[in-house]
Order: sequence, then structure tokens, then C-alpha cells
Amino acid sequence: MTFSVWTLLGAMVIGTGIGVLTGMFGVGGGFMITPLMNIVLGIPMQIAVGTGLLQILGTSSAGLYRRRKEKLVDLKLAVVLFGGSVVGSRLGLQTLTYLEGLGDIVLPGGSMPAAQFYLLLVFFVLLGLIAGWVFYDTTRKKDDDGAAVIGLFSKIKLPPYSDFDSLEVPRMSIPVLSYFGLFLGFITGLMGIGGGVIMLPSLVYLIGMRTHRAAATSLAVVLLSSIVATINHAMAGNSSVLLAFPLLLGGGVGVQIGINMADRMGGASLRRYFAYVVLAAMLMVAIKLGAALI
Amino acid sequence: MDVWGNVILALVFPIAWGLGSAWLFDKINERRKSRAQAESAGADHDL
Repeated sequence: MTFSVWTLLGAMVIGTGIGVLTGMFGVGGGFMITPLMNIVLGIPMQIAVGTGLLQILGTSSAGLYRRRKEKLVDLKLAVVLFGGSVVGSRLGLQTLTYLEGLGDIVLPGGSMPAAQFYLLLVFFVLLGLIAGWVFYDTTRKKDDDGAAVIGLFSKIKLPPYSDFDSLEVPRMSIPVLSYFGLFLGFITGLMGIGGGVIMLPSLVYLIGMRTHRAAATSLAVVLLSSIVATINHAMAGNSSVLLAFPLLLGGGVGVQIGINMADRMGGASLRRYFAYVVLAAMLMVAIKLGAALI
Repeated sequence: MDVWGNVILALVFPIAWGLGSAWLFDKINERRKSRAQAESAGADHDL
């Protein structure tokens, strides 16, 4: 597939912005890359998914390398989640392939590929849930250093358990974490998002980790799950290295800027800005869907 | 792979991996602690 110079320049701008998000919040940025490439640059959804994953690999690697000496990453947690994400990623890609096979769907505003329509719908709902929860949480009074609440998953009594020193409540159910990894992998394979947009609030609110630790650990989880999803999508012919290059170039610069900005912010401020970004993405998806439905 | 194969894979592999990797990390940490304790005991002995 060939792309115009403007498309490649647009990809570089998008890559830089997404890199800043990765550095600040530890998210891969796929929740923005996929719809941005599809809506703004007109890239077919499956190519946007597969290529976006290449960018996520680059920015999360760069971010993790930058944070390697800070010892904030809970590698044990990241690896435990990884197993489920391997299987989930495969299932996600199979689901996407099935949706592609459905062809175009006829809507009041015109026709649209079924894969694009259904995925944008899922994006819209997902982003709304995340933004809503994070806004709700930032309006509650708590200390500025991140999660003071006990993670929801730590209340689930499903043996066997293991201890994770980075958590507010160290004891966690391995089956719960493993299946959560499966869910993350499925989202990665289906939507081309690294899972970070779900991972960051999940590590804070579901698993019970402080925000700065969660940002670093989510980079590791995003990297591991994206490696698998990238391989799967590349084998399916969904990845464009030509398009990924400007994304990565911009992303490499952006992630360093983002980390510098994050280091100057408190946990609550980080979460609030994250919610604003998620809302912006949701608005963009809403506009695209609205145009097709009206 | 058929649907049932995927279901079994999704049910079994994540937990097997999760348990195995958690166990491995715990073993590695235990060894690191023992080694650190042995080194510190050896240093005290030298003093």
C-alpha cells in the first residue's frame, strides 16, 4: 500500500502527540492512534490497527528504557499478565478478521466497513467508561500521591494467590490477574490498542497501585502484549512499516517530552489530564460515528 | 483452531502461565535474598 507525503507527515504529527501521552501516562496511545489514522488520515481500520501496534512497540520500549533505573516497574505483575494477553491477542485478531469478512454496512449517512463501524462503537463506549470513572475519582478528596483506595481485584477471593510488593494490598488472586491479562490481550488484538488506556486506571483502581508506579508498570505490560499482537498482525499483512516509520520518529521524541512533564506532576493532576485526553478521543470518535448515522 | 480449541486455550493457558511465572519470580527473589544474607553474614564474619 502506498501513502502520500501529507499522510506520512500527518503520521509523524500523530506519532509525536501519542509519544507525549506514552511518556506522561504510560499508555501505548493505540486508543488514539487507531481512530486518528482511520478518521484523519483515511487509513483502512485493519492497517491502522496493525501499524499502530508498531508505533506502540517503539514508544513503550523508549519509555521503559528511560525509566529503567527508577525501579518502578513491577516485572512480576507484568509477566503474570502477559500469559493471558498472548491468548487474548490471538482471539482479538480472529475477531477482527471475522468483522472484516462482513464487508460494508449500510447506514443512514452512507456505508462504512463493518469492522470500522463496530470498532468505533466499542472505542466510544470504552473511552466513555474510562473518562467517566477517572473524572469521578479525581473529584473525590484524597492525597495527591496516587491511589489511596484498595484495588477492587484484591477483594476477590479466588485462590491460588501470590504477593506483589508494589501493591497497596500485596496479596492477589492469580486467576483474576491471568484472565484480566486475557481481556487486555483481546483488546490489543482486536482494536490495536496496547491496553495501556485500560491498564493505567486498572492498575490504580482495580489492582491497587500508586499512579507513578502504575504508569511505569503499564509500559512493561503494554510492551509485552504489543509484541505478540504485532507479530500476529504482521503475519496477517496488517502492518505497514512505511507508515510506522514517521509514527515512530515522532513518538521517540514525544515520549521523552511526556516523561519530563509527568515527573513534574502529582498523581491526581496526571489522572485528571489523562481523563481530558480520553474525552478528546471520545469526541473524535463520536463525530465520525455521528456523520455515518445521520 | 476451532472454537472449542480456542475456549480451552483461553481457559487453561493464562492460569498456567500466571502460576508458573509467579512461582519463578518468587524462587528468584528467594535466592537473591539468601545470597544477600550469606554475603552480609560473610562480611560480618570478616569484621
